Amino acid sequence: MSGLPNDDLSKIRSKFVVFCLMCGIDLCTPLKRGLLLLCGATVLLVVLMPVWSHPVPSSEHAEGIARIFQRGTLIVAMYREDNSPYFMHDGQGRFTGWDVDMARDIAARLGVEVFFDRRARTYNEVVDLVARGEADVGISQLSRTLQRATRVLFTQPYLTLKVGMLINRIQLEKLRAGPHLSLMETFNSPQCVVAIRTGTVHEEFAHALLPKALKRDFPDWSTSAVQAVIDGEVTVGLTDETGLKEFIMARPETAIHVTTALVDYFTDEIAMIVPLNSPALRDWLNIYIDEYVPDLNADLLLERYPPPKARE
Amino acid sequence: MTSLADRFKWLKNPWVILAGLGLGVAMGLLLPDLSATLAPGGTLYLSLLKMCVIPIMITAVVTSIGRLLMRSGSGALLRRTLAVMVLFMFIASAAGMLCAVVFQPGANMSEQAQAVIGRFLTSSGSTNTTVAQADIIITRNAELDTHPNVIVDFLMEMVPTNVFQSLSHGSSLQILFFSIVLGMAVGLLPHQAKARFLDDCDVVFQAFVKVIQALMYLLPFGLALLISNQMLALGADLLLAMGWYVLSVYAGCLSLFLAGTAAIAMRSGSSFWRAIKVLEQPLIIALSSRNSFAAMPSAINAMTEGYRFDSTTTNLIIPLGVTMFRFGGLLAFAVSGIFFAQLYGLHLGLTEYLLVLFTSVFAGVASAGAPTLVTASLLSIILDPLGLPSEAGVVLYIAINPMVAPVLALLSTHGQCTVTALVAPLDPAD
Repeated sequence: MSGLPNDDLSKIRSKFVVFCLMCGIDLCTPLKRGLLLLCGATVLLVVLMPVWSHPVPSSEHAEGIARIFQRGTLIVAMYREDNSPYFMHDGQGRFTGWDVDMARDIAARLGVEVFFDRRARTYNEVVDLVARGEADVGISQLSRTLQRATRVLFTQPYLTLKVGMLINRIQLEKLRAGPHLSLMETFNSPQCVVAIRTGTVHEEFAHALLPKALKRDFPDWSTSAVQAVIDGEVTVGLTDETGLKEFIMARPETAIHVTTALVDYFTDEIAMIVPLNSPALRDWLNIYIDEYVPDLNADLLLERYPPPKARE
Repeated sequence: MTSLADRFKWLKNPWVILAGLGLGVAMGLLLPDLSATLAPGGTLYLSLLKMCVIPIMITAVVTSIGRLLMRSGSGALLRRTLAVMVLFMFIASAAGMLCAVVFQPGANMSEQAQAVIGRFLTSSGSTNTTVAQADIIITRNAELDTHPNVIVDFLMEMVPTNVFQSLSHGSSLQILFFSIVLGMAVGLLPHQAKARFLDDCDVVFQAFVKVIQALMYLLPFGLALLISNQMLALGADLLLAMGWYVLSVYAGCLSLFLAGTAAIAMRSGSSFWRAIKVLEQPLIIALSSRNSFAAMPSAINAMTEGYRFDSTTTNLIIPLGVTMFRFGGLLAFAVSGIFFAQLYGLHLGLTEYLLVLFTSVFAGVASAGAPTLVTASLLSIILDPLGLPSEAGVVLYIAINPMVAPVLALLSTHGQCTVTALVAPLDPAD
């Protein structure tokens, strides 16, 4: 055991020899020494591999994860329009938001780049993209519903939101008939008109919460539906908790005409989606959520990502 | 003793009192820390005044009713009192409504003013300052959306189960009711001894009036301390947004004040200015303490000593009026009703005006004896029949109340004096 070029290597070697002797491995014959050296080298190679290479897809990796590693990029499907505080452009024009930052973090932990596919014109189109396998994951303030769960796999929720209601005060007074009805019962009558956007999850919520109310369709929330509530054309507009709170902060002058409510007992679970053939990716994301995503609620989100216009 | 009273007579001079007022305002604005430290002094003075109120009310009502029942022709007097009171309630309501219609406080509110009010409405009661909170949280076992039955509640509220409990809580409506019942009962007793009992009550009454008169020497100081502490920063922007509303209330109070003074002057045979001067003490107390109740003893004193109206009648009318017929609150309700109708763009036709007129009088009576925070919810009596939302209204009413409370108390006190002047006979002697 002489003539070695490296001091460190000799230290390792001597420790290795001592270790073998302690384990009772006999090093006197050259064959045994050679075999031991081969084992050691293989072990070293395997251990040090991740340090110098990209993750190399192998048959060990399930389809979804393998695809990502092969491509070297995580394709995240996301709704086309900005939606504060999940994905938006801040005052400096930077693309930010909870979903955006989380997607970037996931990609970093996987050791790949991230690409945001924002072709989807509706939230259901985000689900379509993922279902067809054109995106690896959908992270877009997606509500977990049974209907969607037949087409994609949902992770556990990373955020729980309450359902928010924007209510026209005068219309509410008109509805208040007898004194023995709770507020929800008052809304759940054919005289109550609810603004919804067909094809969104809030349409489902409206049917679940207020089955007897009259539903009217509006092309979008932020302009036409909101204005309808303010003007009294409809009694109630349903939206999510963050949207409601942002509305209160952005349009304080409307508080004279509208009041706001949160339905405490009806939850909207926000989760990520992956294609049906990527259960391993789904499990990976679940572990990620367990370990790296804190307890979230609407207020925390809005504090960390204030709406861009609120800065003026 | 006379020399002492003479020595300090200057303290009762109206200019000295006004100086005290001015000092209070100056201190409040320029030396807020000092005002805060000295605030207990003002509160103490007010407590001393309030201390006399309940004994005076009980003894005044018992003796006056008892004696009135012993006299003949008092039935007519009582009927006239009630008639004038109710008439005045309607006049006060109409005056408030008229001012609201003239000044249009709720119509054409600028978007900025609406934003201020809106921000106030959404932030009141919430603890989180960075993120807005929703107004209502709907839970699974949601409470029933009940509308209280006001008439029943009012009647239940008026009759005490335990008189001593009412006394210890200071529930003025219940105390009044009890005093009326006792006074009537004593007055209808056949014994001769009842006159002695009523005289004894009268002695207690006179004693407390004496206490009040002594306290008037301290009025400039008490006033200064009270006012200085009340220079609170009422959100200046909310005040601006509700500026026309405040103006309507002030205008209504002023018009009624002038009309009432004219009536008092005519009835008492004095000049217009003297009519005001005699009442300066109760009016100033009402203004600075925002409480017509605290001004009651002084008002009785002024009407009987200053104008020489019959004390028996005065002693009944003023406590009755201050407790049950509060013109100030009534005016505010009337203005609020019109204000909210304008704010929500409700068309105001004859039906609506009549509705506001009657509901505000009713709410004014229903608010008997209770502090503003409680009576604010009675605003729904006026807003519900109009189909207007009351939650926002009640919140705004409470918020803007500190700005109008002094003149409302002034109107209540002055109104009672006006009614007294119109109903009570003048003392024939001297």
